[in-house]
Amino acid sequence: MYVTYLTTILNTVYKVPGTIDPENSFMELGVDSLSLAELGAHLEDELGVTVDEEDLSAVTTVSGLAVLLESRGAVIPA
Amino acid sequence: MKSRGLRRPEVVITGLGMVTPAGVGTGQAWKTVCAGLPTAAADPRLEGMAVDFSCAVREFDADGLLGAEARRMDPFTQYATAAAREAVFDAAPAAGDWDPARVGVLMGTALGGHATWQEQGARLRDRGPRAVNPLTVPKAIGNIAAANVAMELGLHGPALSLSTACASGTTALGFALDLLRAGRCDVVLAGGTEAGVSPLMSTGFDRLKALSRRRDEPAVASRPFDRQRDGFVLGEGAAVLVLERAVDVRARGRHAYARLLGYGESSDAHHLTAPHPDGLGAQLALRQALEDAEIGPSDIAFINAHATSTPQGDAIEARLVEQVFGNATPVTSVKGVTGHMLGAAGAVEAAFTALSVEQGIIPPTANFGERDPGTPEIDIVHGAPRHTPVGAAVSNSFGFGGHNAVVVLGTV
Repeated sequence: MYVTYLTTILNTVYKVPGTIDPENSFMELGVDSLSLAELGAHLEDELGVTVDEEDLSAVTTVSGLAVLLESRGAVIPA
Repeated sequence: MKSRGLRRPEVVITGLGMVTPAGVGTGQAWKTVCAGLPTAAADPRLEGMAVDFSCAVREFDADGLLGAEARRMDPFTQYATAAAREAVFDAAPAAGDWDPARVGVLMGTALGGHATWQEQGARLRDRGPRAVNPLTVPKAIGNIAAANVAMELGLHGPALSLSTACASGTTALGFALDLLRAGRCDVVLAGGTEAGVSPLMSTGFDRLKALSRRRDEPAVASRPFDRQRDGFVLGEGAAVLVLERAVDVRARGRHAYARLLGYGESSDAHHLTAPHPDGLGAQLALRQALEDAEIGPSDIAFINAHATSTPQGDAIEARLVEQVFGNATPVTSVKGVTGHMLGAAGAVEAAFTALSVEQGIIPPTANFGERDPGTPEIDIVHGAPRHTPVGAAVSNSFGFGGHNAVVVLGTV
């Protein structure tokens, strides 16, 4: 659920093309540091959790971030 | 005319790009302006405001035109970038024609990314620091439209914003002319951009009593020079003009719309918002521009007026026109169609003037019906476009703070 949520916003908002492998890091997906800062703010805004700078770096993978969101009790909007 | 010792390079306009309430793209905008079709209408963004209508840019597909980068741009940058792309496409340089290090970008804007500042300021106040978008500053700073144009197009010459309020677009053209004449650039993308339709701007201008309050009939609210004008209508958008040295353009056998013959700029040094009652600063800029162009008032076949539809400003400009040109030279204000695009207005109007010069068509002043008995009987083109050769034309722009900027364009 969290992975699908993340891959959807990466495709639509951040325009990462094609099918996203959740084991890819943000660097591998071509998401730069400015976009990561935006993504962190975006997730806090939408999911009501805290996502710190150290939670979200170039080497973070999509599935790693999904696990973190789940552990923090993020509620994905319907 | 003062003779000049040095032969200055001739500068021509080779590309036009526009995002305007009259249309996205130069072709559509020019068609709407020539048809004299007003664009003012109720604007959902202004719901609940005392003035709840505007001349809005419609059918602008930022994502489609600009892709992923659109998200990182305030609308004032989106408009500028889309207009710049169109202008360069129109100028159609062949590979190798332009040395990127020698191409500059000068973008006029009065407000910069004011919508972003407002939106993020509200988030900070209502929800605290963590709600503020990390891109707030690079989206909103005043230089960023020019910087984005340089980034998008890979241009390495000087890129900067100029701000002379509602004269900004014209000021940008003037300084671009200087850069080309001084040999600092081979090509300059010059223009103006503004995304000024917001609740705060509508209210701010209304509190100054600058806006029309014709809520019941917005389509006839922007009526430059008309007896029943009662203020301007907020517009938005951008225009970019590609300026190059004529010698380069001729050598490559490429098309140019018009020559940019001269430029004048002055300050009233008089009042925060009101123009000098005798139009002294405006007259100075106009006379400087004609002198710079090395032509006289009788050579001017068309005046693209600043006239925003305010009672005071239009009257002063009408008197200025009569003083400098007499009352036989045709005058138009396109703001009857586009509303007042603030820092973009001068660039949009210069672009339309370039088309008037190229095609011999003077668009009508939309909504002009009856002359104001308090102003001179100048020749205000209205009702239908006028087909007449336009050998040379001026485009006037005036801004809060007493800035006056005038450009002179002529046939190639």
